[in-house]
Amino acid sequence: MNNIYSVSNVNKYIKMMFDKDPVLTDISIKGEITNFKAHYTGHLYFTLKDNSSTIKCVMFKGYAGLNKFNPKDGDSVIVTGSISSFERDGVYQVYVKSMSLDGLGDLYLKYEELKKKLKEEGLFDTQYKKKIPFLPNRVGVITSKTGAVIRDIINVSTRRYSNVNLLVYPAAVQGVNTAETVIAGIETFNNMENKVDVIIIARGGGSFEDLFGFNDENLARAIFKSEIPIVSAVGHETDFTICDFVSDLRAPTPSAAAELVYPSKIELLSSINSLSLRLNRAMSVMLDKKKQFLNNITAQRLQKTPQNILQKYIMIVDSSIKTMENNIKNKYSACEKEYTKNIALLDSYSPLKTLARGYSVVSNSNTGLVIKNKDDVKKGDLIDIKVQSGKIEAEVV
Amino acid sequence: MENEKTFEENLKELEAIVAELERGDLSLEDSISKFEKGIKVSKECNSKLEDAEKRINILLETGEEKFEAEE
Repeated sequence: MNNIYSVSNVNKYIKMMFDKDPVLTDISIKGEITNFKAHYTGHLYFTLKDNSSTIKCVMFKGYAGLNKFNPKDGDSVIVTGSISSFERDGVYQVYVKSMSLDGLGDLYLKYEELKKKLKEEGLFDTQYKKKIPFLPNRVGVITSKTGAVIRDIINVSTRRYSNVNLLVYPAAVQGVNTAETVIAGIETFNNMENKVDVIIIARGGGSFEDLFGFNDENLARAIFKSEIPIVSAVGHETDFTICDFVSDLRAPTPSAAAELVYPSKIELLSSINSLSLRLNRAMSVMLDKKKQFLNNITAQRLQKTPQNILQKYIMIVDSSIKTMENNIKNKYSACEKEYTKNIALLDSYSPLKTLARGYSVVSNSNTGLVIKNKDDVKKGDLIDIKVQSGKIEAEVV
Repeated sequence: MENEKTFEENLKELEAIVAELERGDLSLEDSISKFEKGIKVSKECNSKLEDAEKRINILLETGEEKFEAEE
């Protein structure tokens, strides 16, 4: 016959068994989180499951605070702690002391940590990003020498700019050697004598694990140190690796990288062409303007000005001449009048006229003096009597 | 350091010269000399584009070799 025990005793016994067991007092368990509840007290309650069964877990606030991530349903985790029973309810559970993300989650955690660390060091800062050249002389491409990526880059580049000059550095873009070979590529390009103007690091799309080689810390530092600007084209649109953050420019795909690095040759030629046209047109407009200006000046003002002056002087001289002429004419007619007047007077005073009227002029034959008084002569004087027609010689009686 | 101007610098200079001439407030001598400079610069731009040679190489341990992408 069995001994009969109370419930409490049984539960106490069971708890004792758990607490004595060396395996169960310090155990690590892997599982997926479900029924996760973050209690307001700060304690975390959840269930860990695998394909066929589940086990209850609790993580008290003190331990929960040490978590480096925020656990949630679906997370694949590894918990470490002890398994014991909660006497009152007769249930056993895992008392979790520490928890970490399992596998993939772990990788992601590493990525986040490195990203934070490098960001704080300033490796991602915009001020350190170099400008990629507008038109590169030679482009270095670090990528797998086989596969679609290098082919795409060559095709897109050649389409944009027919005479591309590319130098390919073959590297591993998958697996453990990725970082090492890419770093070697960067250093080789930087140490060459005739350096390339820009480097593209390219790799096609893939899973987080596939791309993980580009989250390497040494690679990040090699990219930062590179004196040649680096374009990162790793994975597709939504994939971001640390390589992307440190590089000077990020392209969403390898083809896009080729487009960023090479301008379209046709567009460039057409720009140069239209600039040349504008240059010629501007010059000929300018020449026309100057010519017209010159014409204006000569035609209107320059030629007319001396003529104007001449005209003015010609007019002045002409009118002076006219005035002089008039003056002379006037003086002449005045003189003429005077002359005529005087002639007439003279004529009227002329003794000849008097003589014509019958008068005569008597003068002393010897002295020739004109005799005006009868006292001027005495008896016996010889006198000349001038009459109109001649002279009469007489003697005074 | 190369004294030769980059393509981008030449293109920018050409744009600047054209803008100045279009403004039209330069003297005749300055306009002519800017115009000549513009012609020279645009010739250099064109030759940079046309003269470059297509070359796709791969860097192997033995040195550079012509690169043939797989089809």
